[in-house]
Formats: sequence, C-alpha cells, structure tokens
Amino acid sequence: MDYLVHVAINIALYAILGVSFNLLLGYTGLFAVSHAAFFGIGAYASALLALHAGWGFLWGMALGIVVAGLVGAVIALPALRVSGDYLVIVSFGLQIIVFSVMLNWQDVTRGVAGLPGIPRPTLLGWKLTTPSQYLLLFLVVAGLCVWLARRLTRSPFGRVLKAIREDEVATQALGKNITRFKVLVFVVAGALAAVAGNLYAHYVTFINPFSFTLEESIFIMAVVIVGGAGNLWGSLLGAAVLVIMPESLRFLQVPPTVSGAIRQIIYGLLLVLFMRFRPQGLWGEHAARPAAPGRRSLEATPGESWRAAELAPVSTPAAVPASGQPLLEVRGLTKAFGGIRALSNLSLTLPQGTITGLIGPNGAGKTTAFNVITGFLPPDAGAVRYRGEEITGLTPYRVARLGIARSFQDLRLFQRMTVLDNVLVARPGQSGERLARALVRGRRARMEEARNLNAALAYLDFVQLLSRAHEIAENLSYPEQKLLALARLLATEAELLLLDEPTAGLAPTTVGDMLALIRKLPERGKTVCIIEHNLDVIKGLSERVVFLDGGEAIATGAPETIMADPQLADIYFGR
Amino acid sequence: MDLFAQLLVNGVVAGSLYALVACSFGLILGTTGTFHFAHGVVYAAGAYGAYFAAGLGLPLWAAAGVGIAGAALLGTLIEVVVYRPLRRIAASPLVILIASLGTLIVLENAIAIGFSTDAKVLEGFPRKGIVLGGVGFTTLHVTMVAVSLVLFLGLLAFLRWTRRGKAIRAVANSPEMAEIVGIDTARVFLLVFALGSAMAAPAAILIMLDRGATPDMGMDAILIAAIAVIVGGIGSVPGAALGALIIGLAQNLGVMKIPSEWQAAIAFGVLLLVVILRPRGLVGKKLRRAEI
Repeated sequence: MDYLVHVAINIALYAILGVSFNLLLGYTGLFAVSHAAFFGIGAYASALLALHAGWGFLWGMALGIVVAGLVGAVIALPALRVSGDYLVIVSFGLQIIVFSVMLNWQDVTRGVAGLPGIPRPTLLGWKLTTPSQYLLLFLVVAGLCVWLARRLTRSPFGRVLKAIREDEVATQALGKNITRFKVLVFVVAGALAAVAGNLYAHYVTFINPFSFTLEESIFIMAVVIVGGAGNLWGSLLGAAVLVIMPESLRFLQVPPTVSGAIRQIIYGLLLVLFMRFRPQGLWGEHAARPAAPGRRSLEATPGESWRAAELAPVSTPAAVPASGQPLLEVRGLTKAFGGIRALSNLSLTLPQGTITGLIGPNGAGKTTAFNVITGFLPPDAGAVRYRGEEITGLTPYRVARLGIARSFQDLRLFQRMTVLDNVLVARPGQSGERLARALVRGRRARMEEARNLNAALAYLDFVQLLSRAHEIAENLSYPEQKLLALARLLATEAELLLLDEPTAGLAPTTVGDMLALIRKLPERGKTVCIIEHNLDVIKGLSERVVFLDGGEAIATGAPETIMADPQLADIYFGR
Repeated sequence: MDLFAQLLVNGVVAGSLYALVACSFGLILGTTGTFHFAHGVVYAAGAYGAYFAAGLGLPLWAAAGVGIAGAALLGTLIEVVVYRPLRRIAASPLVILIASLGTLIVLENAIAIGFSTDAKVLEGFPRKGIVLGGVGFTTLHVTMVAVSLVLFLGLLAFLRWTRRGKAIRAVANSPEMAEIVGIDTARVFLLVFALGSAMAAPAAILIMLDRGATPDMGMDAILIAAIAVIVGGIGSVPGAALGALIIGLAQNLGVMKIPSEWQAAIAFGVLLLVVILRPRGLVGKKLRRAEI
C-alpha cells in the first residue's frame, strides 16, 4: 500500500514539473533543457532554510519560488538572445552550471554528501508524517499548480505565448514585446518547478545533487513530449505513464545493476518513436476541442451578442485631421546588404486616408522598405517619421503599437492556433497580457475579453471567415489564409496598414473579393500602402503609385501616368 | 611560469581532441542542418568498438581501425534509420533534435549494459614521458595533437580540392541549388555522416588509451563540441576548431584561478560570454535568427 502511495506521489511530483515545463516547451516553443536546475534550486533553497534558519515549509516554498524565479529571469536574458537549437545548448549550460554549484559549493550544499535530515513539513500546526498525508499534500499543491497554469494558458497572456511559438516575427509585428513574455514565462515555469523541489525535499528529507541532473531534465522533457506538448492534461498523462512504466521493471526481475540503464533506454526509445510516429504526443494540443476558448466566454456575456458590436466605433481613429496630410514620411532611407544596395536614398510619403501603391521590378526594395519602416531592419541612413514623430530605429513592437501594422508575403499566420485566436491575439492593449491580470481576472477583464471577442468576430465577419472561426488556421485554404491575415491586421486597430502583396497567388475571382475589402479601408479611417505586382490591380485600387527601382523612388503619380511613361514601362518589363 | 607553460600544453592537448569532435559535429550540422546530438554516442562507440576488437586479440592499430569503421557505420545507420524518415515527413528541426537526444540516451545506456559503467582503459600504447623546458607530457599527448592536426588539415583539403568535398560544400550552401545542378543530396548526407563519425572516433580512442573511457563520455563530448561550434561560428570548420581550442585552453588555464572541478562550468561560461558579446560566433556567419 505504501508502495502505491509512493508511486502516486511521484506522479503528482512529475505532474507539477511536466505542467511547468509544458509552459516553456509546449506553449511558448522554448526548448530549454534545464528544468531540473529549477527543481533543484527550489529543493536546496527550502532545505537550507529549514535546516539552518528553522523556517517552515511554506516560507521555504516562498523563498524557493523567488530564487528560482530570479534565476529564471537571469538565465532567460542570455538564453533568449539565441533561439531554436542554440537555446538548447545554452540551457544545457545552465543545467550543468547549477549542477556544478550544487556539487562544488561545499560550504553550503555539502556537495556529494548532500543535505540530510530535512524536517517533515508542518502545516497549521499539523505535522505530516504518513505517506498518505503526503499524498494529500502533493495532490493539493499539484492541483493548485495545474489550476494556475491552466488559468495562465487560457488568458490573453497564454494566447501571446502560443503566438510566439508559432511565429515570433509576426507576434512582434502585432505590437507584442516578445522578450518580456519569454522572460516572464521562464520565471513562472522556474517558480513552479521550485514548488515541486520544495515538496520533494521535505518528502524524501535528504537531497543531493544527483537528483537534479541533466538526465532528470531530459526525463521531464520526455513527460511533456510523450504526454503531449501544448496541452496541460497531456503532461498529467505523461507523468503517469512515464512513472508507472519503469516501475513494472521491478516485477520483471531485472537485475538492479542494469535496471537504471534499461529505464533510460525506455525513455530514449519513447522520445525517438514519438517523434517519428506521434510527434503531438499521447494527448496533443488539438486532440479534443470540447470548448473552443471563444465560445465559452461568448456565452458568459449574454446580451452582448457580437452582432451588436458595430465595426465602426471599434475602428474609429483617435483623431482624423484633414485627409491628405502625410501620415508617414520617409526621407533618404538607405540600406545595404553586403555589396547590394536594397534601398538607396528612398523618399516617399503616405498621405492620410489614401491607398498608395508601391510597384517596381523584383529586387526594387519594396519589401525591404516595409522591413525598415516597421523596425525589423535598421537603416544605414535616413529617417522615418510617423505623424511628424521620428520613429527610426524603434523596435518592431513599438512601431506596431504606434499604429503601423504590416502583413507578410508569406502570411506568417499562427498555424496551429484557431482562426479566432489568430485575430484575438492581435487586439491591442489587452490588460490580460500582463501576468498578474492573467492570473487574477475580475469582471472588468472578462468584459474586456468579451469586447475583444466581439471585435475579432466582427473582423472575421468582415472578411467572411466567420463560419471558420473555430478552425485551426493551417486547415484553411490559401485564399482563406490570406483573408485571415487581413483580418488579423485589421484587428490591431492600426491606422497605417502596410500590405505586402495581398493578392499574390490568388485566383482572379478571389483577387476581386480581396480588392473590394481593401477598397473599403480608407472609409474606416485607414491609410494603406500596398505592394503589388499587377498594374491592373493597382489601377482599380489607388490613385497614387510610387514606382521603385534600385531602392529608389523614381516616380510618383497616378497609375495611368506611370504606365504611360515608356521609360518606366521598360524598367518594369525589364526591357 | 612553468605552471603556465604546462597548463598551456595541457590546454592544447585537450583542445585538439575537442576539435576533432567539434569539427565533425560542425560539418554534419553545417551540411545537413541536423543537430546531431547522437554524434556523442557515435564517438563513444568508436572507443568501445576498439576496446572490443582489442579484447578479441587484434593488435592496437587494427583495433583502432575497427573502432573507427564501427563508428562510421553507426553514424550512417543513425542517419538512415532515424533522421532520414523524419526529414521525409518534413519534421521540424526541433523534432529531429529530440529524436537525436533520444538516440543518444538509448545507445549510451546500451553501451553501459554491454560494457558496464566502469572506466575502461585500452592498453598497449608505447607511452613514454617527455620533459621539455620544464613541461611534462607523453608520446601519447604528441600523438593526440598530431592525429588531430592531420585529420583537421585532411578534412579542409578534402572539402577544398576533391570533387566530393566540393559537393559537400555545395549542399551546405544550398541543398535546393545542389539538387538542381545534379548533386544527390541524400548520398552527400550519408558521406558527411560517415566522414564525421570516422573523424570523431579517434578522439575517443585516444582518450581511452590515456585515462580510460566511460559510456557517458559522449554526452560531455557533444556538449563541448556544440559549444565550440557556436563559439567558433556555425558553418565554419576552422571556426569549430578554434572554438574547441579556446575551450580547451580556458578550462586548463582556468585551473590557475578556479578549482578544477569547475571545468564543465567554465566551458559554458565561455559560451555565455560569446553569446552575449558576439552572438554570431568568432568566425562564422550570423547565428540563425528568425528571418524576415
């Protein structure tokens, strides 16, 4: 019986570790194999406090959380300078450095000898002694951790995390400070792992560095991957499966000298096989979608049917000065890549409330111009002014927050999020994107979410994708994806919209639909700049065209005039 | 001063062995885009292959040959059995990386079961001590540096002047373009895995001759190699060698100020410094960043 309780305690322990690591790996796409380090920091912090200062269980937990959270923030900063494969190596580094500290900082940690005699916890005067009492404590704490993680992942904060996982560039272009989100999620995940460490230290009453090795980090990773990344329930399942499966070795009379190695082989093999045959894990992100996040909050606010929400009030610009004023002004922008000058002294203006076409041959610098204006590329020289304010050199998310939104040729949708979430995440100024607000949600936050939901649905209606709202974005057809990209752009409420070839790759009939939508934008107070290859498309859309060649604006005027100029036509057609 | 010179020599010896693993890992990463963690266990398998062959009574040079051939075979086998099917279903780099880590764990523990986790020493190298200007080292250390240098220069020459070497560089530059001009990328990948594996194995065998080998030697080696590649700059074979040398020197010279048990942490300290100060690495191209 005690044995079964012990197994159950282990499952609860790895459920906490799995759920917290899932926040990093599954939700944010941060592959940092250092979770055992946070686990260990929590364990050591609370053990040292209990042994030397006589602090109780809850105080130890609090300190462990703070230390692990701080370490999470400190390591997140260098780690986040690199992404993907390189983050893995940097996180391995953190893991090994923390392990070295536990092993070699003899004065404090006693190295290999470890810390024995950690007192059993006392809660409200009630001392926990029997395994079943422990199990109860583990279950309660694990339940709290899962509840917390779930609350976080279902908030606007969690939505941004997923967007970062899907496409960092697009997330920045929506005005999100992705570094802030990544640091915070590191802090939260580290803190939750520290909670597990605290529980563990007081349960086993003896800790040494070998409980917090690289192998342990990999095991936690296996819990998340086998269970299913991006789904908290998956991590609970993963914890159960990976704890129980090797326990069966006990009954197979495997000699103890090799049982450890066989256990490792099982984990390794599971990783390989799951990657090959079931990369989404046992219980993956989209395995079941019982309650699409939007629908529920929709029901929660009766009387606020989305149809009541008119688009117009949502998208009224803050101030509408006389139309025709330059909203954006670009002066002498120059950008070279090695020897290639993509932009060479480019100057242009975008008058408020108009649609300006940006045309020119391939390599003329059209997309580069967008990249520099929106802060994704620093210019070598020149200035960008928006509403008369200099914005050159601002980071992409700051540019976006000022009201400049851009689309991408390759769309950069959040592929594994729903259509609705793609649009919802773009909404500006969501208070639920702050960590504290994500966890503590009052009535106002719910109202705000409902309003954003209404707006998102209205934009989906605008591009006629409402019926697809709960579909996963990657399941949309290509024309639908282009419409979704437009809806996401509009949902930012940006006043200046930079559209990078919104009609490319569409069939002639759908091109017409797209143009009809774009044509409506100025009357909603938008200023539009559109990169387009097809001159006929431009003709039907705008009265003003800027012709780019060699990174320079060589002509500006009505489409007809530009097309009538034989010299420009020669450049355009490469003659 | 003697101490400094001694540590300098120790650092070069360690760095030259790191360089073998780092260059071969960097070659595989740069050409195939595979973050080949399992390279660590391929390296270890080279040592254990040689140990096994020597146990059958083969002379040392023949046993080393068996180890190297075995490593090459294992490396290509992993490419064919693990990576190729994943590439065919267009798995993300992350998925491939996890599978590679899994492969490393499985094979490392298989070696542990087959040979036990005790350190195994390969006997029979005619080792003699040399003292030169107050610095002591052995003929084995000289062999280590020599083998490393020969293999490193050989690899550079191969990549530069042979037809196949050029094909490797072409694929590293752009697999799509290489396909278009008629290079069979799948075969080039196999070649790179065979070559890289054969290059890493001697380092493990030399370590086994010196202070003995354990089944988990591969994990440490691959971490150092990955750090060296990032420090040197991804996509550059000389960069990887330079990174390896820097880490070898930093770890050994660090002993003057920092107790030796912190060596592993020193390597990662170097990495963190480079990542913060010069994220593109010392030699190579930019770190892969989200491209616009």
